[in-house]
Amino acid sequence: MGQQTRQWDETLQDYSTLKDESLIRLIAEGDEAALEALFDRHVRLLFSISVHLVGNQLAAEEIALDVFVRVWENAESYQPERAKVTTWLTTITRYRAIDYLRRQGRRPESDSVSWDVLPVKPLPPQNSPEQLAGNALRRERIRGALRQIPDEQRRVLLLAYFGGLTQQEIADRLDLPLGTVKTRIRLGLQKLRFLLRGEESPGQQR
Amino acid sequence: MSASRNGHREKQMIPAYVLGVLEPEERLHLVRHLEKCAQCRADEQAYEEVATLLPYAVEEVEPPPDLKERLLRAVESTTAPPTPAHVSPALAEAATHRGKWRSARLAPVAAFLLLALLLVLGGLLLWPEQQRVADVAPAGFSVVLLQPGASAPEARGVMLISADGEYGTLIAQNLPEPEGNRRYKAWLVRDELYDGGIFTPDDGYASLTVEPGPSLSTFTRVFITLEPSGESAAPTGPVILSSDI
Repeated sequence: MGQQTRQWDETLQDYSTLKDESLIRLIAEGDEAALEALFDRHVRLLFSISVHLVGNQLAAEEIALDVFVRVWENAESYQPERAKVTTWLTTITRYRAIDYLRRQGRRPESDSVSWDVLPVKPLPPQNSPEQLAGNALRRERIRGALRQIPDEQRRVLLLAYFGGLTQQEIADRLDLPLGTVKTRIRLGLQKLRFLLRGEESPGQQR
Repeated sequence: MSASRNGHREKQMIPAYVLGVLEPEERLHLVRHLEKCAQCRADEQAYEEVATLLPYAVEEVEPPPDLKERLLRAVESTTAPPTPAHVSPALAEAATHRGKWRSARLAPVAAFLLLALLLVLGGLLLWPEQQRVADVAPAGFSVVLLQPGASAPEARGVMLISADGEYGTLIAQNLPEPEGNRRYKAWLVRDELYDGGIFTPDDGYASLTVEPGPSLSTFTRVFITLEPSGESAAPTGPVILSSDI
């Protein structure tokens, strides 16, 4: 058993050096170990997005599972020229979470998509110390950038990205003219682009 | 919606585009603009990078330790990873067991979907790059692009499948006008053949809602044939459009 586990871990170790795109190609060929490696690399992010959006641990587990099952079933449909793997995964997760909320007749509340007041939890040592340090730094830089943009711009960005609302729906919810919402989204993302220049998402750096 | 002369208006739409909050008509307009404007494409990529980073600001929550085990159990119970089996119409025709029939009907939700999509998809199907359809499909919908058969090389088609797989909307363009009593018919295949419904195009255009009963995700193939009449119990005419699901 011990030997088997070690062998298994060594296999995963090999996979952990592969880029996301390579893992997806292996998954498309039916490689379960590649799926495990992709799961280990991204599950916490996807699970966290789900919890953040639906506010329900059990539903978030189902959403995260469903995302990886979809990857397993549809890996061959991934088109690297169109989106990074992380973008692909987070987009599927967002849509699944928003679908869930719609089925429940709910919309993400503005409070549930506010992150700037939340403390950063220390992460359990599952990934390598370098990865953990990298993730924590990245999170802090992104949060720091978000804190630097005006509240009203941050609020519409949150509703746009995590709320699954159109600009018109955001305008209705916040009781603002549509033009104001459009301007805030544009200015907010422009400023974030400036503040986060040079920042990369994980999976691109390997 | 006309393009502004210097693309300035389109440039301003890009942040909302990468966040997925443009209205369908605006999105279509911008997608078309991006096809021909390298500067805006570069801008789009840069904003996409920023949008990609947003989820990392979310506080990390530790998933339960058994989640990976549950995933492995789930994928082992699927026949995966599926390279969808190609089921030829001839094979489908040979299927001895016919699935339960559900006549095509326009469910309210599908009617809503169609209203939202007709404008967007109507012109889009004519594009050389059909993949762009996926860009404008509503959130959660899967897009299946249908390939034209030899007898109608100009035909274009797409099927949008709802997130839960309960229903699909077939939209086709450039369909040859059927002669006499001939009718177009949609078919779905899994272990048996399902009748997806009869339709007649209007000026080459047709849309049809398909609700086979079992989830569409369990089907392997969809195809459209031109039948001598609407009564065909199995495909007999030429395949006009088809795709694996």
